[in-house]
Amino acid sequence: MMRELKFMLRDKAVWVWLSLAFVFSVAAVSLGLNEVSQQRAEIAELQQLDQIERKAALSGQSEWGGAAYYTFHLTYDPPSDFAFAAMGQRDVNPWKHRIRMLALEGQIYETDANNPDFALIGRFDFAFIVSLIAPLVVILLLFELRSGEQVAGRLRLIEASAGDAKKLWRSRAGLRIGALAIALCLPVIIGGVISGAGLLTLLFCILAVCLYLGFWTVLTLWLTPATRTGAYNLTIMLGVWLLLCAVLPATLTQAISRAVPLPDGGEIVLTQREAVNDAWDIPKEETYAVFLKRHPEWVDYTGWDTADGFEWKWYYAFQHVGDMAAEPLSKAYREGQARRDELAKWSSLMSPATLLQRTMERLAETDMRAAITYEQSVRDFHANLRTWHYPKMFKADDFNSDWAIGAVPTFDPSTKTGAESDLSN
Amino acid sequence: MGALIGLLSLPALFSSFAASLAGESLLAGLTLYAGTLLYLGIWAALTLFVSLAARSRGLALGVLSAFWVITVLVVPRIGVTSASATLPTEGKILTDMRMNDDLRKLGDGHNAADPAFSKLKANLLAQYDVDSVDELPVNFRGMVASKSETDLTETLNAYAEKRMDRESAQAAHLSAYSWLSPYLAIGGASRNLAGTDLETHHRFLREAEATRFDFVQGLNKAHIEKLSYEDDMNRNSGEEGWKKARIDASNWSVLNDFRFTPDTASDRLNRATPKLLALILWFIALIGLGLAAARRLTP
Repeated sequence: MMRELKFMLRDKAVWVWLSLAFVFSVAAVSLGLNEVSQQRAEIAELQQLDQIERKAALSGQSEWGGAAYYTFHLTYDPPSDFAFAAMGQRDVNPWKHRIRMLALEGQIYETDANNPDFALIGRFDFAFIVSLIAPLVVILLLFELRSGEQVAGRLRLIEASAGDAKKLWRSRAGLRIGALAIALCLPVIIGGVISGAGLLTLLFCILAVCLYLGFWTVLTLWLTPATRTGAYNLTIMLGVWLLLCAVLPATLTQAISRAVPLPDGGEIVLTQREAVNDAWDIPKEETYAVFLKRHPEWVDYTGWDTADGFEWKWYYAFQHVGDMAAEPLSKAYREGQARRDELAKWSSLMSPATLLQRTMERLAETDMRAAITYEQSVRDFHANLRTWHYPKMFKADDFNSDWAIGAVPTFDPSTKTGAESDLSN
Repeated sequence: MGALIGLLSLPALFSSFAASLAGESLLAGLTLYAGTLLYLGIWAALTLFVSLAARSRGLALGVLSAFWVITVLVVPRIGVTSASATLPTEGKILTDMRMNDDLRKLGDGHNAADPAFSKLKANLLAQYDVDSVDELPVNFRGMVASKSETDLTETLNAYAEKRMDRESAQAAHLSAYSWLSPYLAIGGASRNLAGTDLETHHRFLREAEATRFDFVQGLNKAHIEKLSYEDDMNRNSGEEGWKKARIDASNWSVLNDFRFTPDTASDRLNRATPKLLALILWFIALIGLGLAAARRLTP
């Protein structure tokens, strides 16, 4: 074994590919850590501004209706300790919102969009390195393992002198791929220690990487027999890589999008908007009739108390009626998203690159499921906000700004119902 | 090889002529076609050079595919990630919240009693030489709405400009990577030439905002001139007051037809020039290397 190790270390090509993998992994991990710390810093500043703003908004108010109208609430999904390895859906789906007690459907689809050019290209993160680049390195390390010796005329000699030839090639391939696994995983372990990722998460990540590399090793050894030339073997393997890492994932994504169409997001917002705008012109009783279906507890409080043409409780009632109008569409949208994710989960069994990517995103809690969980936590918070404010508005409680500043509900990201330790994919 | 490139580029040539029939400039179309030819030429020259220089076919294939992976997959992603690391854009929410600090100083345009408008009130009262706002010949609430719209838009635009500047800086950072990746160069150049680049997007945002501002101020003007302050104040007293406080629907026709026209072909060409230059340099360098390798082989 030591002899084999020395033999491998004398091979310049091995050094080139291994250092390339190591450099890429280091770059991806440090860029990922940098991104996570930027996101954390942004959240910290947002929290601070949120407090200042709430105080300013509430102290100028004299009634609960106005207070709820002018008070925004920050909601956010902090990056996990492993998010540096796979940014996943955080680049596409929103992870922070400013929510008011107005109709939620008009607020929840607001994404803090990044530079449009960037989403087109994608991020250089550890998940990308492992799922797309690492298989290429495996191929480059192994395609000439046997055919190279054949060309040099040593194949027979080596196989004869080794006794068990299969064992020899296995240990040679194992050494190379083991070294590759170390080159890839070492930066991620260090990154994980720096950011405080859980031991179990890191172990799972290493296991996933090793299994994935193992898959490509077996595939490469199987498809690159010594009887063919190295150039031929490499061409075959590059074709396989293109198929498994580029063509298949893209085809599956396309097929799933076609199979599960989503309602147009703009249509959801428009439906809600129209319901809210119409409410100004239709009889108040009509609005209340719809509202009371959902909140019958306020049936005795919907009288028109003032001569004025405007009352806050009516205003918030029709905001909620707007959400109710958009509810079927909104539900269909969310169900479609979940359905797509479910299909993607099963179809990833056909595409190892996608499977690995999904595993990383699950470990990093940056997958679609995490995005859906966060959105649900925002919906729950908004519902809380309403049920907290309704009694004050319908019973016309007195407003005390000093008390309100300390008492209004604030969002707590840890109340998410997602299962942190649930690693099943 | 030349025939293959010609064949591969035919659709580009065809579509540039087809687009010119539909009113697109032939100059932009043909430049895009030339860019595509150049890009394919780079790959041909690279393949030639590597095949001449490499000892074995296997090595040549390995080097070429490594080059493809690096320039097509790796460099663009590194460019994007490093652009957002060195020139971070803050999210819209953070910008909004910082902006709110500024906006609080401007006053609430729906509330004419907001102290921020007392100066406007004093000026107007002095200008028309009257004692109270209901004696003004114009609707004070409309004046407040109009003034606050102007102030608000100014602040919002200042922040929007800042954000767009940052995005442009990011795009410039990314396009510097064009020198390392012909793939990025041709991608950027085609977006420039087709008028689907960031600059065009920003101009669209600015023009749409200008249209919105003119429309809102048109309505505010109607509010000032066509709705009396008295009717306005009684808007919430009963059905009749509610109806009296409305203005005719024809006032909404101040909303201009918004038409967005693409930049001229020469403007687009100017923006694409650095990227096209990168492609030309790549091509020349690779041809040079190929010739040198061929010369080494001949004797």
